[in-house]
Amino acid sequence: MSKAPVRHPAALVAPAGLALLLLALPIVGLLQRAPWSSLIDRLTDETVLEAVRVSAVVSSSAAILCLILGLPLAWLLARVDLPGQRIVRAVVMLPMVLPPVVGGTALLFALGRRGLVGQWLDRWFDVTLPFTTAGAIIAATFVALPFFVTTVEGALRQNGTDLEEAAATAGATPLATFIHVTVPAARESVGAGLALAWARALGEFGATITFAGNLGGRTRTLPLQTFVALESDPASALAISVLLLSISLGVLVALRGSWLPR
Amino acid sequence: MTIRIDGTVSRDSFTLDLDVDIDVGRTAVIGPNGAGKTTLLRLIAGLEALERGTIHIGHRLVDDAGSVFVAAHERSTAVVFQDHRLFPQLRAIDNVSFPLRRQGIDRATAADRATVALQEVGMDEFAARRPSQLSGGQRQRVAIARALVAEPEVLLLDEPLASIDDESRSGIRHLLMAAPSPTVVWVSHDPADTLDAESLVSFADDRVRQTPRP
Amino acid sequence: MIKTGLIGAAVLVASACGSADSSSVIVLAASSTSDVLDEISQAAETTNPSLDLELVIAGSPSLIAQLESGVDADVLITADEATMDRAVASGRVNEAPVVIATNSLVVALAPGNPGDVTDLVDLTDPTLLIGACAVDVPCGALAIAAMDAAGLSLEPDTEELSVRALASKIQLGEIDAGLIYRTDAAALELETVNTPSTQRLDEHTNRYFLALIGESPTSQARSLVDLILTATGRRILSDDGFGLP
Repeated sequence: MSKAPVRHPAALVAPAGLALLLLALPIVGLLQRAPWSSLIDRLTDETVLEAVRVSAVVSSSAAILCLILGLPLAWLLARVDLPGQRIVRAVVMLPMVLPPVVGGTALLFALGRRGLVGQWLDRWFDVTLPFTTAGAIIAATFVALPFFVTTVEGALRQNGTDLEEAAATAGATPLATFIHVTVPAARESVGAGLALAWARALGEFGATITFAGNLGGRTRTLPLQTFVALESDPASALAISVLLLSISLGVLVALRGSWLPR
Repeated sequence: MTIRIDGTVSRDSFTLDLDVDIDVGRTAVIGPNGAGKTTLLRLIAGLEALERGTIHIGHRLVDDAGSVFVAAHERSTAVVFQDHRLFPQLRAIDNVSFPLRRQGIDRATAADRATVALQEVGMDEFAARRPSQLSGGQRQRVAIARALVAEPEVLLLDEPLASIDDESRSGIRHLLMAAPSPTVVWVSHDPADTLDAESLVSFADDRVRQTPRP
Repeated sequence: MIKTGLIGAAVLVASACGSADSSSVIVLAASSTSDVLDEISQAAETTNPSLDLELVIAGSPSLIAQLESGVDADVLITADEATMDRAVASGRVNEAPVVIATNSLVVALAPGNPGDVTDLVDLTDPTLLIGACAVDVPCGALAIAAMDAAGLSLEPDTEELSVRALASKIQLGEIDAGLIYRTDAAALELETVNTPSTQRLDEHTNRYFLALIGESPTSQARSLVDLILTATGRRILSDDGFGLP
């Protein structure tokens, strides 16, 4: 049996094509201007390598923080009847739609040296987060966390509670159930959420520059380095952009290939 | 171990009023779909809570619709569900070890006891398989082994044969008949499953009737 | 009416959306002139009601990128000579640029001076949180030159990408002290250090250049330039803390 031939209405195909063009064209523009012959040289430049190191530390730490903090949060949203559930969910989603610069400013007001909580961190523990790698990690986690939480929460809801009930009647405490049953059953989504969160953390710019500042070897991640280089050495900026672009594409292709529904 | 339930819980469209005593031995719970049979089982297992009234398992108060609620994992009950509910990422042997491991029993001892339990349900040669590599009947056998391995005082069976093909059914029925738990509560819509039950709880017309078998 | 287009890296979007009707005067200007240009625009539109100014404020590199991409513009104001040189190199500037103002750096302090900064040398104290502009931004280059001249090496905790971002963080108290333009310190009413060592910062100035863009500048554009170069404009610039040439 073959499908009946379908006539595709131009009223849909044309805007769809335009949308695709809008998404693809900037990438083509970037690739067409990229300094291909000197790409390796530019990417192995000491300042760039330094930014690679900072980015690796910051994005991986942010992904791990997303796992440690985000898994329980996803569980809470999926399994517990919270008072003001809608508000809680909105708060969780907010960094996805908030301009990252606003997020960074908000972090400064909360965790900065004069911030709501930051002043006590500073006074009692002598901990100052802005302008440190830890600050960059927090900024990256702030923007990446919703990607992880929403991915995993969706999976937990879809998986339902049947297995958790089975675990409880088999003598597992709620915590043991979470560790031995809930999380393993959602492991593919946890992996997908981690990859998305990591990629978002890697690309983070606005919150980082606002909250953590910009210093080579400490807080200057690849996106910051790209922006700095755009002013002084555009070819280097393009080379880093190509690198970031290929990593992002790699993550998405890997997700499509193994985790997300095709 | 006797079970005493005296209380109410609301369902979607009606309130279930329960006044049920379950004695040691095998009790069949029958009635049409949606009458509340499974709810009764879930109340005993600790998967649902009463809105009013009390539940005792043995002499222990496990639910008083208020301050007392003993969680499912702290009750001396085990459940075989209609759908096996095996943990998909675990091998058969690890599924069966699961209740023992949660009691803090070491890995080797748990594995030995799980192996014995698998032998008893005729599944020892499939110990290393994951649920996805087993047939429906085989999965239910593993699920029975998982329910029995920790030697529960009360075994709760929620339509354990409903999803099993005819070929495997009698074998699994025999296994359940031979279950060593002192108290067995067997929910079924099929009277054939409950032929030799010692007492009967029947749900009909929104009322629960209790009849000891002669 | 004053239309202000704020532009970061989104040069493309800005140039796509920034095309105004032909009668308005489009001014591309460096970030640090934002406040003073607002005041000058008001003054200009008061004296000449038919004047319709559109301000496009951006960092110097973005200004050049826009100019090179052929964006509509009548007047360009840059925060340093190097940026204006690049504009001239782009071929869109036909008359010699003129210096309209100068700016110099000051040591600006967080409210209450929590770092107890009293001298230029305190900027090298590793226990303090010190901010500077990135070296690729005019105020960053100026800071390095000034510190070099004083025989000090600046090792900031952050190299901010714009002087305003740096100034805001000082104002918030997140940074103990930083080198920012006198005009920004004045606009945010920040405390500054005033000692012989910091007075030597005045020897290092950025010069603000103005140029008319295009083959035949409009009379409207010329009247704006006249206003900036004559008494009214000079007074406003001076009031905002700019030095005059």
